[in-house]
Amino acid sequence: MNDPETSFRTALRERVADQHPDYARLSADAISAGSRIRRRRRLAVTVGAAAAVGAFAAGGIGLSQLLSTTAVDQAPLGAAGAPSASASPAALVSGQTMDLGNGLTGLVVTNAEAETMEITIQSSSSITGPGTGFTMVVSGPEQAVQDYWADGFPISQEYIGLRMATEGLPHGLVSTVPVEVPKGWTCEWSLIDDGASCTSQDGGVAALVIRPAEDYEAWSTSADKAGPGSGAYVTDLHGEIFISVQSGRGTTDAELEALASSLRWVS
Amino acid sequence: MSTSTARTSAEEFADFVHATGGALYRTALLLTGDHHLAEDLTQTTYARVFASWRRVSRADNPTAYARRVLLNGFISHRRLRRNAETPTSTLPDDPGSDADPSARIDLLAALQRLSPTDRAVLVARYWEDRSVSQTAADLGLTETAVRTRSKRALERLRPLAADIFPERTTR
Repeated sequence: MNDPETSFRTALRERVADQHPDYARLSADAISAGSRIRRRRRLAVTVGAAAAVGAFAAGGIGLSQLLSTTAVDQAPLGAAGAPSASASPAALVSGQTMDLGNGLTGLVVTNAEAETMEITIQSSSSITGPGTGFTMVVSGPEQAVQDYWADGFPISQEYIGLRMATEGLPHGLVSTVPVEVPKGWTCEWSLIDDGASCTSQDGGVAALVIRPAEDYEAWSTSADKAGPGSGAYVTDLHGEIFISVQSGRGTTDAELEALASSLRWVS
Repeated sequence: MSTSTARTSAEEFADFVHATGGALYRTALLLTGDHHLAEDLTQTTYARVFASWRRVSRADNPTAYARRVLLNGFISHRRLRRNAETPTSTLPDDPGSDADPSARIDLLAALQRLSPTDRAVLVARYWEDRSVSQTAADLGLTETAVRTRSKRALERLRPLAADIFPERTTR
Protein backbone atom coordinates (compact mmCIF):
# COMPACT_ATOMS: atom_id res chain seq x y z
CA MET A 1 0.00 0.00 0.00
CA ASN A 2 2.84 2.32 0.80
CA ASP A 3 3.99 2.77 -2.75
CA PRO A 4 6.13 5.82 -3.57
CA GLU A 5 3.35 7.65 -5.37
CA THR A 6 0.92 7.27 -2.48
CA SER A 7 3.57 8.27 0.01
CA PHE A 8 4.45 11.32 -1.99
CA ARG A 9 0.82 12.28 -2.41
CA THR A 10 0.29 12.02 1.33
CA ALA A 11 3.42 14.00 2.08
CA LEU A 12 2.32 16.84 -0.17
CA ARG A 13 -1.02 17.07 1.58
CA GLU A 14 0.48 17.01 5.03
CA ARG A 15 3.00 19.63 4.08
CA VAL A 16 0.51 22.30 3.04
CA ALA A 17 -2.58 21.29 5.00
CA ASP A 18 -2.32 24.20 7.40
CA GLN A 19 -1.38 26.84 4.86
CA HIS A 20 -3.99 29.51 4.16
CA PRO A 21 -3.78 32.79 2.29
CA ASP A 22 -5.30 36.05 3.44
CA TYR A 23 -8.46 35.69 1.39
CA ALA A 24 -9.70 39.25 1.81
CA ARG A 25 -6.40 40.77 0.80
CA LEU A 26 -6.01 38.29 -2.03
CA SER A 27 -9.33 39.17 -3.63
CA ALA A 28 -8.92 42.91 -3.04
CA ASP A 29 -5.44 42.97 -4.60
CA ALA A 30 -6.56 40.79 -7.48
CA ILE A 31 -9.54 43.02 -8.22
CA SER A 32 -7.29 46.05 -8.17
CA ALA A 33 -4.67 44.50 -10.45
CA GLY A 34 -7.30 42.88 -12.67
CA SER A 35 -9.02 46.22 -13.10
CA ARG A 36 -5.75 47.73 -14.28
CA ILE A 37 -5.46 44.96 -16.87
CA ARG A 38 -8.98 45.74 -18.03
CA ARG A 39 -8.20 49.45 -18.33
CA ARG A 40 -5.13 48.73 -20.41
CA ARG A 41 -7.22 46.56 -22.71
CA ARG A 42 -9.85 49.26 -23.06
CA LEU A 43 -7.19 51.78 -23.86
CA ALA A 44 -5.77 49.55 -26.54
CA VAL A 45 -9.21 49.10 -28.06
CA THR A 46 -10.08 52.78 -28.21
CA VAL A 47 -6.80 54.54 -28.88
CA GLY A 48 -6.45 55.68 -32.46
CA ALA A 49 -10.07 55.43 -33.46
CA ALA A 50 -9.94 58.81 -35.14
CA ALA A 51 -6.77 57.87 -36.97
CA ALA A 52 -8.42 54.70 -38.13
CA VAL A 53 -11.12 56.63 -39.89
CA GLY A 54 -8.54 58.74 -41.70
CA ALA A 55 -6.50 55.77 -42.73
CA PHE A 56 -9.62 54.03 -43.85
CA ALA A 57 -10.50 56.77 -46.30
CA ALA A 58 -6.92 57.15 -47.44
CA GLY A 59 -6.87 53.48 -48.22
CA GLY A 60 -9.24 54.03 -51.09
CA ILE A 61 -12.36 52.65 -49.49
CA GLY A 62 -14.68 55.41 -48.46
CA LEU A 63 -16.13 54.88 -45.04
CA SER A 64 -19.43 56.35 -46.13
CA GLN A 65 -19.43 54.06 -49.13
CA LEU A 66 -19.09 51.02 -46.96
CA LEU A 67 -21.49 52.20 -44.33
CA SER A 68 -24.14 52.94 -46.91
CA THR A 69 -23.75 49.54 -48.47
CA THR A 70 -26.16 46.90 -47.35
CA ALA A 71 -26.08 43.18 -47.52
CA VAL A 72 -28.89 42.94 -49.98
CA ASP A 73 -28.16 45.61 -52.52
CA GLN A 74 -24.55 45.15 -53.39
CA ALA A 75 -22.32 42.24 -54.19
CA PRO A 76 -18.98 41.76 -52.46
CA LEU A 77 -16.27 44.16 -53.54
CA GLY A 78 -14.36 41.30 -55.04
CA ALA A 79 -11.46 40.67 -52.74
CA ALA A 80 -9.32 37.75 -53.67
CA GLY A 81 -10.03 34.77 -51.57
CA ALA A 82 -13.51 35.77 -50.53
CA PRO A 83 -15.38 32.54 -50.24
CA SER A 84 -18.67 31.47 -51.55
CA ALA A 85 -20.76 31.70 -48.46
CA SER A 86 -22.97 28.92 -47.31
CA ALA A 87 -26.72 29.22 -47.04
CA SER A 88 -26.75 29.27 -43.27
CA PRO A 89 -26.05 31.60 -41.66
CA ALA A 90 -26.80 34.41 -44.10
CA ALA A 91 -23.87 35.16 -46.37
CA LEU A 92 -21.67 38.09 -45.42
CA VAL A 93 -21.19 40.96 -47.81
CA SER A 94 -18.46 43.55 -47.75
CA GLY A 95 -19.83 46.81 -46.46
CA GLN A 96 -22.58 45.16 -44.49
CA THR A 97 -23.12 46.44 -41.00
CA MET A 98 -24.51 44.27 -38.28
CA ASP A 99 -26.12 45.30 -35.01
CA LEU A 100 -24.26 43.34 -32.35
CA GLY A 101 -26.32 44.66 -29.47
CA ASN A 102 -25.36 46.99 -26.62
CA GLY A 103 -24.70 49.80 -29.07
CA LEU A 104 -22.10 47.83 -30.96
CA THR A 105 -21.82 47.77 -34.73
CA GLY A 106 -19.90 45.26 -36.78
CA LEU A 107 -18.66 46.45 -40.15
CA VAL A 108 -17.92 43.63 -42.58
CA VAL A 109 -15.02 44.07 -44.97
CA THR A 110 -13.02 41.60 -46.95
CA ASN A 111 -9.67 40.63 -45.55
CA ALA A 112 -7.98 42.46 -48.41
CA GLU A 113 -9.86 45.63 -47.59
CA ALA A 114 -9.01 45.21 -43.94
CA GLU A 115 -5.33 45.42 -44.83
CA THR A 116 -5.86 49.04 -45.87
CA MET A 117 -7.42 49.99 -42.55
CA GLU A 118 -5.73 50.93 -39.34
CA ILE A 119 -7.36 48.32 -37.22
CA THR A 120 -6.20 45.64 -34.87
CA ILE A 121 -6.97 42.06 -35.73
CA GLN A 122 -8.00 40.53 -32.44
CA SER A 123 -8.82 37.00 -33.52
CA SER A 124 -8.43 34.90 -36.61
CA SER A 125 -9.14 31.32 -37.54
CA SER A 126 -7.92 29.07 -40.31
CA ILE A 127 -10.99 26.91 -39.92
CA THR A 128 -13.03 27.38 -43.08
CA GLY A 129 -16.60 28.53 -42.69
CA PRO A 130 -19.12 31.13 -43.72
CA GLY A 131 -16.95 33.89 -42.27
CA THR A 132 -13.78 32.94 -44.12
CA GLY A 133 -12.35 35.77 -46.19
CA PHE A 134 -14.04 38.48 -44.17
CA THR A 135 -13.08 40.72 -41.27
CA MET A 136 -15.58 42.32 -38.94
CA VAL A 137 -14.56 45.64 -37.40
CA VAL A 138 -16.34 46.10 -34.09
CA SER A 139 -17.03 49.63 -32.90
CA GLY A 140 -19.20 51.26 -30.28
CA PRO A 141 -19.04 52.25 -26.62
CA GLU A 142 -15.69 51.22 -25.23
CA GLN A 143 -17.10 49.19 -22.36
CA ALA A 144 -19.40 47.34 -24.75
CA VAL A 145 -16.49 46.61 -27.09
CA GLN A 146 -14.49 45.38 -24.14
CA ASP A 147 -17.31 43.15 -22.98
CA TYR A 148 -17.89 41.80 -26.45
CA TRP A 149 -14.22 41.03 -26.69
CA ALA A 150 -14.20 39.39 -23.28
CA ASP A 151 -17.09 37.22 -24.39
CA GLY A 152 -14.95 35.89 -27.21
CA PHE A 153 -16.65 37.75 -30.06
CA PRO A 154 -19.80 35.59 -30.18
CA ILE A 155 -20.55 36.46 -33.82
CA SER A 156 -17.38 34.63 -34.85
CA GLN A 157 -18.85 31.42 -33.46
CA GLU A 158 -21.75 31.79 -35.87
CA TYR A 159 -19.57 32.84 -38.79
CA ILE A 160 -16.73 30.37 -38.51
CA GLY A 161 -13.56 31.72 -40.09
CA LEU A 162 -14.51 35.36 -39.57
CA ARG A 163 -11.65 37.57 -38.40
CA MET A 164 -12.53 39.99 -35.66
CA ALA A 165 -10.95 43.42 -35.40
CA THR A 166 -11.27 46.58 -33.39
CA GLU A 167 -10.36 50.09 -34.33
CA GLY A 168 -7.12 51.25 -32.90
CA LEU A 169 -3.41 50.96 -33.09
CA PRO A 170 -1.86 47.53 -33.28
CA HIS A 171 -0.60 46.02 -30.09
CA GLY A 172 1.05 42.76 -29.34
CA LEU A 173 4.14 41.82 -31.33
CA VAL A 174 2.39 41.67 -34.69
CA SER A 175 -0.78 43.08 -36.19
CA THR A 176 -1.48 40.31 -38.69
CA VAL A 177 -1.13 36.56 -38.62
CA PRO A 178 2.57 36.07 -39.43
CA VAL A 179 2.67 32.51 -40.78
CA GLU A 180 0.71 30.02 -42.79
CA VAL A 181 0.44 26.57 -41.29
CA PRO A 182 0.78 23.41 -43.38
CA LYS A 183 -2.16 21.42 -44.59
CA GLY A 184 -3.65 19.28 -41.90
CA TRP A 185 -3.39 21.96 -39.24
CA THR A 186 -5.88 24.64 -38.30
CA CYS A 187 -5.05 27.46 -35.94
CA GLU A 188 -7.04 29.93 -33.89
CA TRP A 189 -5.00 33.09 -33.48
CA SER A 190 -5.25 35.56 -30.67
CA LEU A 191 -2.82 38.24 -31.70
CA ILE A 192 -3.25 40.26 -28.57
CA ASP A 193 -1.91 37.24 -26.72
CA ASP A 194 0.85 36.74 -29.30
CA GLY A 195 -0.15 33.21 -30.07
CA ALA A 196 -2.36 30.59 -31.57
CA SER A 197 -3.84 27.28 -30.58
CA CYS A 198 -3.57 24.74 -33.36
CA THR A 199 -5.21 21.40 -33.99
CA SER A 200 -4.16 18.74 -36.46
CA GLN A 201 -6.51 16.56 -38.45
CA ASP A 202 -5.82 13.63 -36.16
CA GLY A 203 -6.65 15.66 -33.07
CA GLY A 204 -3.17 16.62 -31.93
CA VAL A 205 -2.77 19.99 -30.28
CA ALA A 206 0.07 22.49 -30.49
CA ALA A 207 0.57 26.09 -29.47
CA LEU A 208 2.34 28.74 -31.50
CA VAL A 209 3.84 31.57 -29.48
CA ILE A 210 5.15 34.70 -31.17
CA ARG A 211 8.24 35.87 -29.35
CA PRO A 212 10.47 38.94 -29.62
CA ALA A 213 13.82 38.70 -31.35
CA GLU A 214 15.72 39.47 -28.17
CA ASP A 215 14.61 36.11 -26.78
CA TYR A 216 15.84 34.20 -29.81
CA GLU A 217 19.35 33.45 -28.59
CA ALA A 218 18.07 31.96 -25.36
CA TRP A 219 15.53 29.83 -27.15
CA SER A 220 17.75 28.68 -29.98
CA THR A 221 20.71 27.71 -27.81
CA SER A 222 19.02 26.08 -24.83
CA ALA A 223 18.26 22.40 -25.28
CA ASP A 224 15.98 22.68 -22.31
CA LYS A 225 13.78 25.23 -24.05
CA ALA A 226 13.62 23.96 -27.59
CA GLY A 227 14.74 20.95 -29.56
CA PRO A 228 14.25 17.20 -29.38
CA GLY A 229 12.63 16.08 -26.16
CA SER A 230 12.01 19.58 -24.83
CA GLY A 231 8.44 19.81 -26.01
CA ALA A 232 9.12 22.83 -28.19
CA TYR A 233 10.76 23.85 -31.44
CA VAL A 234 11.52 27.31 -32.73
CA THR A 235 11.44 28.84 -36.18
CA ASP A 236 14.24 30.92 -37.61
CA LEU A 237 14.34 34.55 -36.67
CA HIS A 238 12.09 36.61 -38.92
CA GLY A 239 12.69 40.33 -38.54
CA GLU A 240 11.79 41.21 -35.01
CA ILE A 241 10.08 37.98 -34.10
CA PHE A 242 10.30 34.22 -34.10
CA ILE A 243 7.80 31.55 -33.16
CA SER A 244 8.06 28.73 -30.68
CA VAL A 245 5.95 25.71 -31.51
CA GLN A 246 4.99 23.96 -28.31
CA SER A 247 3.45 20.58 -27.83
CA GLY A 248 0.05 19.75 -26.51
CA ARG A 249 -2.06 16.68 -26.06
CA GLY A 250 -1.63 14.04 -28.74
CA THR A 251 1.24 15.67 -30.60
CA THR A 252 4.45 13.73 -31.03
CA ASP A 253 7.88 15.27 -31.06
CA ALA A 254 8.24 14.49 -34.76
CA GLU A 255 4.92 16.13 -35.58
CA LEU A 256 5.94 19.17 -33.61
CA GLU A 257 9.24 19.47 -35.44
CA ALA A 258 7.49 19.02 -38.78
CA LEU A 259 5.01 21.74 -37.94
CA ALA A 260 7.74 24.13 -36.87
CA SER A 261 9.79 23.54 -39.98
CA SER A 262 6.86 23.94 -42.35
CA LEU A 263 5.52 27.25 -41.10
CA ARG A 264 5.71 29.79 -43.89
CA TRP A 265 6.17 33.46 -43.11
CA VAL A 266 3.60 35.65 -44.79
CA SER A 267 4.20 39.00 -43.14
CA MET B 1 -26.95 50.12 -12.94
CA SER B 2 -23.44 49.53 -14.07
CA THR B 3 -22.20 50.19 -10.56
CA SER B 4 -24.57 47.58 -9.26
CA THR B 5 -23.38 45.11 -11.87
CA ALA B 6 -19.73 45.83 -11.05
CA ARG B 7 -20.35 45.30 -7.33
CA THR B 8 -22.09 42.03 -8.01
CA SER B 9 -19.23 40.94 -10.20
CA ALA B 10 -16.70 41.84 -7.51
CA GLU B 11 -18.70 40.05 -4.88
CA GLU B 12 -18.99 36.97 -7.02
CA PHE B 13 -15.28 37.11 -7.62
CA ALA B 14 -14.55 37.48 -3.91
CA ASP B 15 -16.67 34.41 -3.25
CA PHE B 16 -14.74 32.56 -5.91
CA VAL B 17 -11.43 33.54 -4.32
CA HIS B 18 -12.64 32.42 -0.93
CA ALA B 19 -13.77 29.07 -2.31
CA THR B 20 -10.69 28.34 -4.36
CA GLY B 21 -7.93 30.47 -2.87
CA GLY B 22 -6.74 27.93 -0.33
CA ALA B 23 -6.10 25.18 -2.83
CA LEU B 24 -4.60 27.54 -5.37
CA TYR B 25 -2.30 29.12 -2.81
CA ARG B 26 -1.11 25.70 -1.64
CA THR B 27 -0.41 24.74 -5.23
CA ALA B 28 1.59 27.93 -5.62
CA LEU B 29 3.47 27.21 -2.41
CA LEU B 30 4.47 23.76 -3.59
CA LEU B 31 5.56 25.18 -6.93
CA THR B 32 7.54 28.12 -5.63
CA GLY B 33 8.65 26.83 -2.24
CA ASP B 34 8.30 30.31 -0.80
CA HIS B 35 5.36 32.01 0.89
CA HIS B 36 5.96 35.40 -0.69
CA LEU B 37 6.41 34.01 -4.16
CA ALA B 38 3.35 31.86 -3.66
CA GLU B 39 1.31 34.89 -2.68
CA ASP B 40 2.57 36.80 -5.71
CA LEU B 41 1.80 33.94 -8.04
CA THR B 42 -1.66 33.45 -6.59
CA GLN B 43 -2.47 37.12 -6.73
CA THR B 44 -1.24 37.44 -10.31
CA THR B 45 -3.37 34.47 -11.24
CA TYR B 46 -6.49 35.93 -9.71
CA ALA B 47 -5.81 39.31 -11.30
CA ARG B 48 -5.80 37.70 -14.69
CA VAL B 49 -8.92 35.78 -13.85
CA PHE B 50 -10.69 38.93 -12.69
CA ALA B 51 -9.68 40.77 -15.86
CA SER B 52 -11.74 38.23 -17.80
CA TRP B 53 -14.22 37.46 -15.06
CA ARG B 54 -17.35 37.97 -17.16
CA ARG B 55 -16.21 35.26 -19.52
CA VAL B 56 -14.52 33.03 -16.94
CA SER B 57 -17.47 33.03 -14.56
CA ARG B 58 -19.67 31.62 -17.28
CA ALA B 59 -17.22 28.90 -18.20
CA ASP B 60 -17.92 25.30 -17.29
CA ASN B 61 -15.13 25.17 -14.77
CA PRO B 62 -13.69 28.51 -13.63
CA THR B 63 -11.54 26.73 -11.07
CA ALA B 64 -9.83 24.69 -13.75
CA TYR B 65 -9.23 27.87 -15.71
CA ALA B 66 -7.64 29.55 -12.70
CA ARG B 67 -5.46 26.52 -12.02
CA ARG B 68 -4.28 26.54 -15.61
CA VAL B 69 -3.49 30.24 -15.47
CA LEU B 70 -1.44 29.62 -12.35
CA LEU B 71 0.51 26.74 -13.84
CA ASN B 72 1.20 28.62 -17.05
CA GLY B 73 2.16 31.71 -15.10
CA PHE B 74 4.58 29.72 -13.01
CA ILE B 75 6.18 28.00 -16.00
CA SER B 76 6.41 31.22 -18.03
CA HIS B 77 7.90 33.17 -15.17
CA ARG B 78 10.45 30.50 -14.46
CA ARG B 79 11.43 30.34 -18.12
CA LEU B 80 12.03 34.06 -18.16
CA ARG B 81 14.20 33.80 -15.09
CA ARG B 82 16.02 30.64 -16.09
CA ASN B 83 18.96 32.29 -17.78
CA ALA B 84 19.71 34.27 -14.66
CA GLU B 85 19.63 31.24 -12.41
CA THR B 86 22.40 28.89 -11.51
CA PRO B 87 22.08 25.52 -9.87
CA THR B 88 22.88 25.43 -6.20
CA SER B 89 23.77 22.69 -3.83
CA THR B 90 22.57 24.57 -0.79
CA LEU B 91 19.04 24.50 0.45
CA PRO B 92 17.02 27.71 0.47
CA ASP B 93 16.05 29.13 3.82
CA ASP B 94 12.75 27.98 5.12
CA PRO B 95 10.44 30.96 4.93
CA GLY B 96 8.14 29.91 7.67
CA SER B 97 9.61 27.44 10.07
CA ASP B 98 7.14 27.68 12.88
CA ALA B 99 6.11 24.05 13.04
CA ASP B 100 7.69 20.74 12.20
CA PRO B 101 10.62 22.50 10.55
CA SER B 102 12.60 19.47 9.47
CA ALA B 103 9.83 17.93 7.42
CA ARG B 104 8.94 21.25 5.82
CA ILE B 105 12.46 22.09 4.84
CA ASP B 106 12.95 18.67 3.38
CA LEU B 107 9.91 18.53 1.17
CA LEU B 108 9.81 22.08 -0.13
CA ALA B 109 13.55 22.23 -0.57
CA ALA B 110 13.59 18.90 -2.32
CA LEU B 111 10.96 20.07 -4.75
CA GLN B 112 13.04 23.15 -5.51
CA ARG B 113 15.84 20.89 -6.73
CA LEU B 114 13.65 19.83 -9.63
CA SER B 115 13.19 21.78 -12.84
CA PRO B 116 10.10 24.00 -12.82
CA THR B 117 8.38 21.77 -15.35
CA ASP B 118 9.14 18.59 -13.42
CA ARG B 119 7.88 20.26 -10.27
CA ALA B 120 4.71 21.37 -12.02
CA VAL B 121 4.16 17.84 -13.29
CA LEU B 122 4.48 16.37 -9.81
CA VAL B 123 2.24 19.00 -8.25
CA ALA B 124 -0.39 18.51 -10.92
CA ARG B 125 -0.26 14.74 -10.74
CA TYR B 126 0.06 14.13 -6.99
CA TRP B 127 -1.26 17.25 -5.32
CA GLU B 128 -4.07 18.12 -7.68
CA ASP B 129 -4.69 14.50 -8.68
CA ARG B 130 -4.75 15.38 -12.35
CA SER B 131 -4.54 12.49 -14.77
CA VAL B 132 -1.61 12.10 -17.12
CA SER B 133 -3.66 13.41 -20.02
CA GLN B 134 -5.03 16.32 -18.01
CA THR B 135 -1.56 17.24 -16.82
CA ALA B 136 -0.27 17.06 -20.37
CA ALA B 137 -3.02 19.39 -21.54
CA ASP B 138 -2.50 21.79 -18.64
CA LEU B 139 1.22 22.09 -19.18
CA GLY B 140 1.36 21.82 -22.94
CA LEU B 141 3.31 18.56 -22.79
CA THR B 142 2.80 15.20 -24.40
CA GLU B 143 1.49 12.40 -22.24
CA THR B 144 4.75 10.57 -22.76
CA ALA B 145 6.64 13.59 -21.49
CA VAL B 146 4.43 13.75 -18.40
CA ARG B 147 5.04 10.09 -17.59
CA THR B 148 8.76 10.39 -18.19
CA ARG B 149 9.12 13.57 -16.19
CA SER B 150 6.99 12.22 -13.36
CA LYS B 151 9.00 9.03 -13.04
CA ARG B 152 12.30 10.82 -13.29
CA ALA B 153 11.32 13.49 -10.80
CA LEU B 154 10.17 10.96 -8.21
CA GLU B 155 13.44 9.11 -8.60
CA ARG B 156 15.34 12.33 -8.04
CA LEU B 157 13.32 13.12 -4.97
CA ARG B 158 13.84 9.73 -3.39
CA PRO B 159 17.33 10.36 -1.97
CA LEU B 160 16.54 13.98 -1.19
CA ALA B 161 13.50 13.25 0.92
CA ALA B 162 14.02 9.77 2.23
CA ASP B 163 11.34 10.09 4.88
CA ILE B 164 8.71 10.48 2.19
CA PHE B 165 9.54 7.15 0.61
CA PRO B 166 9.66 4.73 3.53
CA GLU B 167 9.88 1.61 1.43
CA ARG B 168 13.48 2.26 0.63
CA THR B 169 14.46 3.25 4.11
CA THR B 170 15.23 0.94 6.94
CA ARG B 171 12.67 1.23 9.64
